[in-house]
Amino acid sequence: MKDTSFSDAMGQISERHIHEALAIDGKEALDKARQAEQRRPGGLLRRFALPVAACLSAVLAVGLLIRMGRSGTIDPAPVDTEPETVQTEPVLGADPGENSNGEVQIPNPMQDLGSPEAVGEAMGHAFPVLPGRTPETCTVIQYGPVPALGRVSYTDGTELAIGPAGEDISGIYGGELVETFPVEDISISIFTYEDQPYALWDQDGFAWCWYAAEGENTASVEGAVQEVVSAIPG
Amino acid sequence: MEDEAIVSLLFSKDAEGLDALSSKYGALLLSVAGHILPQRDAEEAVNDCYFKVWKTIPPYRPVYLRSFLCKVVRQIALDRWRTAHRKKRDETALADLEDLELLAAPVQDDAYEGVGAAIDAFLDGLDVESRTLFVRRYFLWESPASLAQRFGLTENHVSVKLHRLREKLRKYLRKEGYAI
Repeated sequence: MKDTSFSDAMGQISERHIHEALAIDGKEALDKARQAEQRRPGGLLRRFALPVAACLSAVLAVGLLIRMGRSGTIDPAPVDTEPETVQTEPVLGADPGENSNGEVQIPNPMQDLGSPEAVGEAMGHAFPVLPGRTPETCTVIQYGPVPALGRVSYTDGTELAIGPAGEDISGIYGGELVETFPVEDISISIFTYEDQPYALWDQDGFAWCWYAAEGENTASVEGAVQEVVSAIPG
Repeated sequence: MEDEAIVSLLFSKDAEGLDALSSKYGALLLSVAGHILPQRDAEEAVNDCYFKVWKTIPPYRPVYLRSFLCKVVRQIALDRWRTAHRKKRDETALADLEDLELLAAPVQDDAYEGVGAAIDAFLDGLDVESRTLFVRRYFLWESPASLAQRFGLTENHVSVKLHRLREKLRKYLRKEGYAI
């Protein structure tokens, strides 16, 4: 057994944590960092998962009580009958409310839009068409009037995301900066998280993030990013 | 001068790199050392820091130069403080660390790094405000009063938050197998 003083152990923390603490040097910087944290998909999940789960539980509990109140017991599930209600598609950015049947509708912040073009349209910037890559899922995350993040996953395991300029839209906290290099006067930052590389940069008024497929290295990310930067319509 | 340029100068053993380092980060380093040592000793610690950086780069190339410098000067200042207070062995005078002064790390040979890595993982799980307060307090030795003023909070809020974070860290480390 070996005793280590807490102060020595603190001296061994990662330089990224020190970097962050030094950069957040006042109230304004702290507020900005808080906002950026909440905008991250991971942050969103933490922020919304519990309230949404609580709302759903409450709705289910109320429904159950109403059913029990009508018959004194829980009705068995209907067999071979038409569904009582038709679920309508929630509208992007809509407030939770009731549909025509009086049921509470909670819009899903993550919406599948079907095509990169639709993602581009929702985000307000044309989404690039990448030769040789086939889109698999095309989603946007929206919890306010404007979509916060657009993301297209390709069949080869890579992904491209678009979000507000100046933000870290990766949704990854704790990535290590590996290098920064220019492509067409744009500064590209390559990070790794658990050996998985990804790239972040700002272009044409938006932030972009490229996620490598599993097993890819930083060199292949550099090549892919050059391809993406050229393909983004200016 | 940009950090990258300073590191390049240091890499090529150009003394101009040290001048740039001193003019850009001298005040910060003095402030970090000054939280631990009296002014004159803090100045010596900063000079020792420059010497150590000169010896370390190359081969080491820091990604975050400022953080790296803070780490170096902090360790030098802490070592000097311990030398001066060798008989006391009581670091509570340095900061209100309550029962966290000693972390016993069982089994591993590299327990020293293990505890640091465990604290890193703990910090990763915190929100940005908690993480910033914790690192500024326990790495940079910034006082609760200074933290309160810096972030527009009350000193009581900062103290309560730090107390809760210490408790949370203690539970976390125990769960990870460290005896405290």
